[in-house]
Formats: sequence, structure tokens, C-alpha cells
Amino acid sequence: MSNIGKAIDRFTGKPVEGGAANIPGSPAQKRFEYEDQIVSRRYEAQKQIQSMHQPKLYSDRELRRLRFIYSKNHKEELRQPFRDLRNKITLNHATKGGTVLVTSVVPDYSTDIFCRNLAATIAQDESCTSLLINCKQEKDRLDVTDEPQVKGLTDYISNEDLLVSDVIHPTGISRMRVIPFGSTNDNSMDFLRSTRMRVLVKDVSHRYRERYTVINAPSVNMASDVELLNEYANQIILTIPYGKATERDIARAIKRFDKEKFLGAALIDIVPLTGILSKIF
Amino acid sequence: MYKPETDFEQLARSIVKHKWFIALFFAVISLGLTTLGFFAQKQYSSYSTLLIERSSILTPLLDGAAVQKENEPGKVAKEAIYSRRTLTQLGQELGLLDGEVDTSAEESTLNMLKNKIAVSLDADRYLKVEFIENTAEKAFQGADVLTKIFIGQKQGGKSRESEGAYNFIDNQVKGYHKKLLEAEDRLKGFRAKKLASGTTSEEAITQRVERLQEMLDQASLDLKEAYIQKSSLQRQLKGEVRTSVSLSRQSQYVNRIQQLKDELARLRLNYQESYPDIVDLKHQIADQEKLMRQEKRNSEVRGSIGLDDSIRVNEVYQDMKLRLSNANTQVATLQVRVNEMKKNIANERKKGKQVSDVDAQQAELMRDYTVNKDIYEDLLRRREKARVSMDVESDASHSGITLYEPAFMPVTPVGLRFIHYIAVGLVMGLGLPLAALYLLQIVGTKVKSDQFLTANMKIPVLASVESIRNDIEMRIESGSRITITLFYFATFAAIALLGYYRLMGQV
Repeated sequence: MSNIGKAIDRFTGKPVEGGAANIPGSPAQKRFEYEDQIVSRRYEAQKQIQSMHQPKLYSDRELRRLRFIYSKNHKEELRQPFRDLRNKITLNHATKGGTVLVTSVVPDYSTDIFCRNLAATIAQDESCTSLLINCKQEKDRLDVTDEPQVKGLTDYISNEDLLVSDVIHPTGISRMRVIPFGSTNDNSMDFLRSTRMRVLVKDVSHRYRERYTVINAPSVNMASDVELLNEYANQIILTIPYGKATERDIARAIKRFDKEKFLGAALIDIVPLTGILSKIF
Repeated sequence: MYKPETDFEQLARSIVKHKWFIALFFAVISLGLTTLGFFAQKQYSSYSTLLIERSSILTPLLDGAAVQKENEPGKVAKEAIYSRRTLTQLGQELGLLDGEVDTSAEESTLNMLKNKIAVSLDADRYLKVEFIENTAEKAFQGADVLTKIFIGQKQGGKSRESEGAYNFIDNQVKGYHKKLLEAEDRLKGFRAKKLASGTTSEEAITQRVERLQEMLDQASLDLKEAYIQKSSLQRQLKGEVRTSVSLSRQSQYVNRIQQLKDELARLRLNYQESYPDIVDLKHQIADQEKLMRQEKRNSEVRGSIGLDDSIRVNEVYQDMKLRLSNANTQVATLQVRVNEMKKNIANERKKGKQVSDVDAQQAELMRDYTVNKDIYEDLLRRREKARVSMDVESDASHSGITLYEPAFMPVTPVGLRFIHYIAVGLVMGLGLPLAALYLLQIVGTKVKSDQFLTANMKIPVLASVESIRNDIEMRIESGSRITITLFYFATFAAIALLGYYRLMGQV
């Protein structure tokens, strides 16, 4: 059985043949062999990932336009929080799973940029891939396909004929995929209740072991259905826009999350310091 | 615990966010105040200093005299200077008023003058009379005239007051002199009447009564003693007579019996008992003894019997008799004395009653006289002091107020000057928006700090991310930074320009 096959088996809950647990010997030996297995698995995954279809990469200009953080353009202080966040998510992966729900405490506040940068940072790791699911109408198109109108989440839900693979599109970032919101202009959020939505989330998050799914969800204080997302998400991040939410808003939002799954808050869109002030603080 | 008061980083972020608000506020405030300063009229102030002599060399000399003492000279001076009379006079001398104030326009001129005057008291004795005007000449003229008017009023007023005081006291003195004379006459008349009636003072009578009482007590005591002595002597004398009589008889009987017994003994030497002499002697002895026993019994039963000569010549008896006679004499003497004294005391008491009435009358008259005399003397003293005060104050050099420093021609304007307007404008223009932002930060309820989330709300903060800008926003940002710098420059340039024109205008 190939390593990939083993990985899938482990994922589906079957005992792994010849796995670390079955090998007799000292604990150190066991551990060594277990780690060895992980490394080999990751290596395999990486090789497979490398073969992923990548039509084109963003130029620096496009990265800036889409507000992606990248090393040439941005300071270390800006990149570091995302890397820390990625590490935290990947560390929890083994116990919790790789589906991350990002929601905002303020209704109608865009978390697009935070989510896409989080997905991009996760994809920077060569052994990981990331998938961004947009549950809100986005401003920018992230996919790099040539079609004038790409199929998205709402299309998938309304059109029973569409497959999951039809709505997953490559982006200009290596190892990052996106499911756009779609062509339907439905902001009622009713689709979150639909069975196909559940199927989609289950499908995409369980398909690959090394894939992390970032769900860009509506504001927790706007849609009551967002609580349904508690079901499919393994980890929940609450974004708090700088100077937009009160203590009460935040407390109310946190109450609606599954305590186990709530990873923490992220303060976003902080007003950057300029000039001499950035040197003082 | 996170506190927004100390979160200066947040303040810095607020400054960045609201940089245009700050810039505009700064421009409006600083330019506004500069413009205000540009058009503000200059104010010149001239003042004179008056020295109020509160403790001049005269004051200790004239202590208590009717010299006017001002407890609050500053207040009094203010009242005098702001008085309608002074202001009218000032207006007339400055040429602003002609004649009395009788129209509303003239009334407002008076008010205007009032606003230009400032009076203050330094170190409790330096009175500063200040006059503020638009030009140096006017200010000087105003202060000078006002000072002169004030000093003139002060001197005139004071000597008038002293004269009034003197006249009043003089009248009082005359009145009391008359009253005093009357009281004196009444007292004299009473004394003459008293001498005639021969009454002495109550005190003397009391003393005498006391003395008599003492003597009476002594005499009574002596009398009692004399009685006792007399009765004791009488008793002794009686006892002496009885015993001496009885004893002399008994001894005679004893002697006789002894003689008879001796005779009997002598006869028994030679004779028998039946010898008649012996028998006779025995009878005689028996008789004698019988007699003696009788005598003894008699003396016990009967007491004394008639005195015989032997007793009369007894020395003790004689002596006792003499003393008894003396005692009788003394008793009689003392008896007389006691009676006399009792009579005397009764007399004196009667006299005393009359005397106390007289004394009360005299005290009344004396009191009346003394009170009148005291007041009269006091008034006399005061009148002399008032005379001196009047003399002193009619002399202008001792009016209590001296011109310490005359009014002067001011060179630099007073009050807020143009430079002050600019400085205040700059400080307020920057300070007010910053203070507003800081206040909003403290009051605001919106969450702006990850420390607040972790420390106060106990929520784990995964990341704090500054907003990520695209190229267009970056360009707008840097453009805005240049614009804002230019805007500040423009504001400063405008202030400088106004300052330049102001300086030129001054030259």
C-alpha cells in the first residue's frame, strides 16, 4: 500500500498496517519510526502537491492589487502574525482538523483580505495546500482561469449537476485554491442551511489530508445560520475590526461559538502608524 | 488590567487616523486667533502709586483721637474713585463731558470711563490708580488727572470731618459741664444737712456696737464668776463655824475625862475600889462621858449654835468674812455695769438705723457726681485731641495720602499682545484636537487594543494585523502626507504673513 493510501486510511479511521503502533520494540524506536513515517508521508504529499495544476502565478503588481502580503513588499511585523496563526492552525490540525472558519464580529465587514492572506500563508508551506471558500460576495476575483464568469459556491448549491471539482479554481498563489461566492447575487445566507452546502464543506475538508480549508463566513452577529458552520468547522477565528466593535458585541459573538472549536480572536485592520510615530511605538 | 488612559500607542494611531481633522482644527484655531490678534487694538496703561500712611509718626501721638481711621483703605479708595462725582469731574477735565451728566450718551461715556479705571492696593498701603487707553498719551493723561482729583477730594474731605468732630465734642463738653455743676451743688447741700443732724457713718456705729457687745459679754462672764465666788464663800464660812464650835466642846470634855481618869488612877494606887473618892470619880467620869456623847449627838443634829468668842477670833474665819464682803461689792458693781451696757447697745442700734438711710442717699448723690465728672473729663481730653486732629488735617501735608509715584507715559502696550495671540493659537490649535482624541479614547467603548481583549476579556488574541493597503491606497497615503505637510506650511506662512503686516503697520 502506498503512503498516500495509508494516509487516506488513517484519515478514514482504519488502522494503519505496519504503523508505529504495531511495531514491537522500545518507545524511542517507536517514536523514531513514527516520525520517519510522517516525514515520508509529507515528502510524498509534497511531491504530489508539486504536480498540482498551476496555470499562472500572480505578478508582484497583482499581489499588491489584491493586498497579498509578500516578503518583498511588506515588513516582517506584518507577515509574522499570519505565520503565527498558520502555525497555530497546523499544530491543532492533528487533534481538531484543518477546517478553519473565519467570521467577523461586525456585520457587513469584509474579512476577505484577512482570509486570503491566511490561506496564502498556509499555502506557503510546501507540504500544505489551502482552499478558501467565500461565503460572502467578494470584491476581487482570485481565480486565474480564463472564463469570464467562474462557477462558485452559490452555483454549486443551486445547480445539482455541478461537481465539487467544478467550483474549485486555482489562484495565482501556489498550492492555494479558491471557491468563489458565485454568480448568484443571493445575500440572504439561506444557502448555509442547504444540504449541498454541508456536503460541499464535508467533501472539500475531508478529501486531502494536507489541505486546509479557510471558510470566509458572514458575520456571526448578522446571520444566525452561521452557527450551523460550527458543525463543519474544526477551528473558529473571530476577527475584530479595529475600533468597530464594543466589548458587548464581542462577548455576544463568542457566546455563539462552540467553546472547543474557538481558537481565538484576531484584531484586524489596525490603523498603521506612519512617519515618526511608527519609530516611537 | 488594560487601561485606555495609558495606551499612548492607541493615541498615536488615532492621530494618524484623524490627521486631517487635527490639521484643519489647527489651521482654523491658530489662524483665527492670529487674525483676532491682528485686529485687536493695543492697550496702554498708565498708573500712579499713592502711599496711604496708616501708621505715620502722628498716629501714635494721636492715638484715640478723632483722626479718621480707614479699616479698608483700598475699598474706601475704590468707592471714592468709582463715585459718580469723581467720574464726572474726570470726564470734564478730559474734555469728554461738558457740564453735568444728563443724557444717555453722557451716561455711557461715564460707564466707559469706569471700565478704563483700575484700582488696586498692594502691600496694604500702596494704592495703584490705573487708567487704560488706546494711546499712551491718553492713558497718561487719564491716570494723571484721576490721581489729582482723588488726592484733592481726600484732603478736603478729611479736614471737614475733623472740624465736625471737634464741634460735636465741644457741644457735649458744655452740656456735661452744666450737669456736673448741678450734681456738685446737690452733694454740698446734703453734706451740710448731715453735719447738722450729727449722724456718723453706719460703719462707726457697727464698730461701736460690736465693741459694747464684747464688753457686755465680758461683764456678764465676770458677774457669773462673782456670784459663784460669793456663794462658795458663804458655804465655806458656815461649815467652818459649826466644826470649830463642836470640836472645842468635845475637847473640853475629853480633857476633863482625862484629868478625872488620871485622878482615879492615882487613887487606885492607894485605895480599894470601894473607896468613896474612887466611886465618886467613876461617877464623874461617867457623867462627863455622857455629856460628851450628848454634845456629839447635838452637834450632828443641830448644826451650829451661837458663836463663842474663840471662834470669832479664828483667823480663817476673819479672812473668809472679808472675802465675802469683797465678793458682794463686786457682784453689785458688775450688775450695774451690765445693765448700763445693755442700755448703750440698744441706743446705738437705734442710731444705726437712721444712719443707713442717710448713707444710701449720700451714695446716690456721689455716684451721680462721679459719673458726670468722668464723662466730662473724658470729653475734655477728646476735645483737645480733636483740636489737634483738626489742626493736623487742615495742614495738607498730613492728609494720610502721599503721591508715591506719579503717572507716567507708557511705552509698551499691556494685555494680550499679538505674539500672545499667535502663541495661544498654536498651542490651542494642536492641544485641543489632541485632548479631544485622548478624551474620546478614554470615554470610547470600541475595542482598539489586543491588550484589552487578553487582559480584560480573557480572550486569546491570535494576531493583530494592520490594514493591508494596495498600490492605489499607498499612493493616496503618501499624497495625503505631502498635502498635509503643505497644508501645515501654508498655515504657518499665513500666520507669518499676518505677523509681518502687523509689524509693518506698527512702524
